[in-house]
Amino acid sequence: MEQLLRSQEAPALDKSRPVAYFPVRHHSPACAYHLKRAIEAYEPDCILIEGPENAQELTEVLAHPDTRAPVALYYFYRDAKGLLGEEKEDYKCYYPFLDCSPELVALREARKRSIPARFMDLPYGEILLGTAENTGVRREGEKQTYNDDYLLSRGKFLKRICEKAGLRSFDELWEKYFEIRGLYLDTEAFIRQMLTYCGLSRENSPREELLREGCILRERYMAEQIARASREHRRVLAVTGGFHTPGLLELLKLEKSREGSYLVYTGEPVELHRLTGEEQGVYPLAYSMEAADALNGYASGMPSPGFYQRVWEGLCEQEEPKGAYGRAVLEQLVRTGRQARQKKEAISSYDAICALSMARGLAVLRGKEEPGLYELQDAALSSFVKGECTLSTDMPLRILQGLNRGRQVGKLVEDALRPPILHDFERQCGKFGLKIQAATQQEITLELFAKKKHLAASRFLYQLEFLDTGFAKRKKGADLLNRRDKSRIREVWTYRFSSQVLSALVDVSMAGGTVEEAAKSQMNSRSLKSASSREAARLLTQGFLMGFLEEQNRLGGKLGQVLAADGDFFSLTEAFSHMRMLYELQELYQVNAFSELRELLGSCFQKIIQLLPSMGQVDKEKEQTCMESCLSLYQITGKRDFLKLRPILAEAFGRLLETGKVCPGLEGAVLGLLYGYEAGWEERIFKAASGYLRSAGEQQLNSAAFLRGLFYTARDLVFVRKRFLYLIDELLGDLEPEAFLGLLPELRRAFSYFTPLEIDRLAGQAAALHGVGKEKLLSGLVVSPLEYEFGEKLDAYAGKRMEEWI
Amino acid sequence: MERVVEIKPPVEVRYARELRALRALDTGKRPRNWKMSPQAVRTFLLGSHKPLIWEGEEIPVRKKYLGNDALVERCIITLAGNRGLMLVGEPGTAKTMLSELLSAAISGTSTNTIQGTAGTTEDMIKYSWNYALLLAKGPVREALVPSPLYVGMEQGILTRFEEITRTPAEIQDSLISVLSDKVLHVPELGEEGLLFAKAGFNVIGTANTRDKGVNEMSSALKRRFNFETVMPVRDVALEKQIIINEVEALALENQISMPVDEDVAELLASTYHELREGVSSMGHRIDKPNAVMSTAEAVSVYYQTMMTAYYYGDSRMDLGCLVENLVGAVQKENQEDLERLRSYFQTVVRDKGGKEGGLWNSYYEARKHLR
Repeated sequence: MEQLLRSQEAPALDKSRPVAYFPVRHHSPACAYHLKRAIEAYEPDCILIEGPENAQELTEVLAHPDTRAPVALYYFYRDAKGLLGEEKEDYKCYYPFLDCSPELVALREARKRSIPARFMDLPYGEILLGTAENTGVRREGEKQTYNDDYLLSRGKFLKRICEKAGLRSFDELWEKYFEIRGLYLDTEAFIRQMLTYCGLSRENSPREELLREGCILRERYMAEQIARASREHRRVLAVTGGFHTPGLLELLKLEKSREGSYLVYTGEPVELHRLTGEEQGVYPLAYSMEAADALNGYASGMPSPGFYQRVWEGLCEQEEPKGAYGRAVLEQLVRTGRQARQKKEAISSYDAICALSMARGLAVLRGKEEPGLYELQDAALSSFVKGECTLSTDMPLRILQGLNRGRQVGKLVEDALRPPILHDFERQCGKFGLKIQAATQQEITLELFAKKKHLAASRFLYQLEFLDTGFAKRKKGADLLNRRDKSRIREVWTYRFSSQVLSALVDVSMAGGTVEEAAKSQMNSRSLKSASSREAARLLTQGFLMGFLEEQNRLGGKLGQVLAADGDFFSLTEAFSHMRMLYELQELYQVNAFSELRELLGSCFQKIIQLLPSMGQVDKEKEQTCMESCLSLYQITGKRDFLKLRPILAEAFGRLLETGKVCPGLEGAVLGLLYGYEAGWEERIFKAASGYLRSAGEQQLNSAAFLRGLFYTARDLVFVRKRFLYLIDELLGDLEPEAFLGLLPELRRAFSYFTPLEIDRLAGQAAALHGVGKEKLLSGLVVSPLEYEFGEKLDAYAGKRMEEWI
Repeated sequence: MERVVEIKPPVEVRYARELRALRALDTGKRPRNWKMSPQAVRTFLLGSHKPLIWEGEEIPVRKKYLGNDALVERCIITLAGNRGLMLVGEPGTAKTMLSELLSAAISGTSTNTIQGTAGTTEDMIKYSWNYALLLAKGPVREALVPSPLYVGMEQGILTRFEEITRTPAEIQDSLISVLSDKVLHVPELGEEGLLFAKAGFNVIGTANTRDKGVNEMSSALKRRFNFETVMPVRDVALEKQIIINEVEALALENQISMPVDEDVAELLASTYHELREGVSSMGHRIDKPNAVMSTAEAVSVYYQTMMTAYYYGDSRMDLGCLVENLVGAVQKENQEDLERLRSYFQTVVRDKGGKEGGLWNSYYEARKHLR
């Protein structure tokens, strides 16, 4: 490997040349360090940087002293004309910058020197259009980034180098030969070494593949830009991913004229599609180290950005680059030890000393000038983990991992171009007192119905939740979506600000200028997709929680259509329950949609009535849901606004019973409801109950299910009609003991609908039938308080003694 | 006199040529009293791409420890430092082999070993007396019987402590002061009773974590060691390679001239891998047996089958016999493990037989030996 890297002569930073090339790997401190030196040595008049050129206006924002890395450029492209496929999808990608990103260093240096710095790559949309499906930036299943370092780290060639050099991965190879050794080389030698490696990896990449990935097209465009700049400026510095440098050199020819030398582009000119600002755009974003970590699915970054940030800080602080890695390793070990001690882990200073000597020893053994990330991790594993490495002992490793990842969150200069939705988000957060300066988790309690502002804050948080920003999560409070805890009047939310929230908001920024607008438009588009009334009603509930008054109408129209098309009884009844809940809560939540909801409930009701008579033979596991639906229908028809519907419901119940084949539970429940509607059904109930109880075999088992259904809807029958109690008592008394025991579990369930007081009363009455007083039913031994106290003491003593044994 | 053939010669004898060549050609810096530099130790364990040329001979250095290279490097550096090395992990993960290889390379001997048991006493760790000499001459160095730890300190070589967690915790703790002060007191010898450890001394301990009857280590002792957790091999191809290498070496030592059947080795490696992980390569979820499914066990299952084929059969691996040996290896703890193995055959092996046919089919047919 060493020989290989020293083997090629390369263009120097010769000031007489019109263009100097600086090959980089993204986020590499060594590249950034040498780039700084190269700029000092070459003194360019203009710096061209690999990056989609439609972000040109944002270079000022990125290089501004008030902007704090990590930041990212967020590119989007909307395939409105279907140039990429019939689906007309949206595409997006990130281009992150850390302090140690050479591109950001180039921008900052250019600003310092007051020379122009320009992005020279194709605009993002054009890159997409020049890339074949499922290759390059259009690869599926990955978090899309603009960086293309993957070009350097693939291929059999690399695998063989790693095997031969005894290294685990490309990242370790890179660190050994370019990061650590790179700091021991002068800038010229470093560039030469980069070019050799990049040249080799390029030789090992088939040209067809590069064409498919759009790589060649981009290089043609960049070469054109370099040639153009070399006409305008005396010395141009081109900063590109190392893989492209050999490609660019091929496309450019040196020409000399009286004024001096310049470069001429020798390839075919690149033709651009005319994409509008609507179709593609770019925004700057505050980013986070966490998001930039390669281990978090960010495919093209270096892993552990926090560690390399330390190295970079060391390089900025000290004149001498040598030793920067060793110092960073020591610092991370010390910090890990300190944090571990705070978490009550027994890591001593001596452990840190052993770890450092391990890291240094490994570096010597592995032929590295200084220990790096891999030696740091190995040292912590060896010296900090006590005992077998398991979840209970690897806390120090997790702490180190966190430190190596870094916690910094970036910040953009005040007047940076940002989508309006971000301003709205920040303004609203400010208004509701939500803290977004800290990256730690926060909590807020909202008194929904006492303070108007709290209700508004709750709506805002629901909107953010609906937009999948991952910002806030409701911890306590009414869960209307699942129809649980409806009576809670307080909500507790936890929330945490991160760059992911911002990027999620930018993702939806085209849907609206404010969080509310974006949520509304998302809701509309989702409502168009909802296929069942269950889904549509859930969406309606979400809209209700987000406080979209005027939207309810439109949504209602859509829901009406869905209801008409839905033939699923359960989906309809669930929708009905949702709407009913909203109808009841609207006053409380200060949403006024009486007329729309009434209408919707009416049509849903009709639909259910149609389906109800066919529900007699419902599956056993759905029987309970069906019973609940019937009760819910009955209850709502008791409300003043829906009283007219009750006879219709009773008629439908009647039709259901007439079918003759009704599950016993449902039959009991429906009969109970009908009894509530009209006392005349009493006889029918007696008949059915005695029928069930007097039958044989399996039918007898059904009797308990029948009673359960009956008690579910009309348990008062037992109290109001003594006759019923006699009947049950008599029938139960006639049962064989075995049959009774078989029935018992189901009977227990049936009686569980009664309150404890009612059971007590019922038991008293039943006991009276057999001439026994109520008080004798539950009589037990009375224990004196003194005895009880002694017993407790004895128990505690015995427990303590047994603990000693164990 | 007839030469005694050892069943298992120590590592330094088995690889004597490699070790000599590595020492002779070693140009790296050696820690004091080490027989070779850390780089050469690494080469001895992890192999070299090119054979060594020494005294006109080509000496290939094969990779002896397959698995985690970084772990080997950490072990070497630990041994050059102030702390002892403790290899922990499930049984059969080649901890002992690793410690033997390290000792042979660093100190030239792998036999300076304490074998820990529940009956290990403090004098077995430190020193004891030859009572005849003690009575005759009184407490003099001559009458003292040094333990491997004593020898290690005296000569500046590594002491291996096998199965350290099998010894009672208070006995383990007698190592604490020796490891931190690097000095052993022998009060009986009076003024001469201080043994200072010579450079090059260190301790390699091995400890099982899953076995029954192991004791916890005190945290004071833990602090004197760097721990390395040796994980079971997670890669089927690598496990297959280990089986082949080990069986070949065993066959050579025992003069069994029969080639290793790579397909059978792969079959066995997949079986062990899938039963250990609880999921098959085709995605079946299977119950893991309670017995330890180590690669060392797989090697012994293969080797037993091979011997049966060599002595009683036609020198071809018989899958029926393999299954019988597999039952012996798996069914150690309880009857349920056999049921688990059976259900593995009835799901995974059956489906693989259906899909891949060939050897897997014959393997499935051999299920009748599962009893």
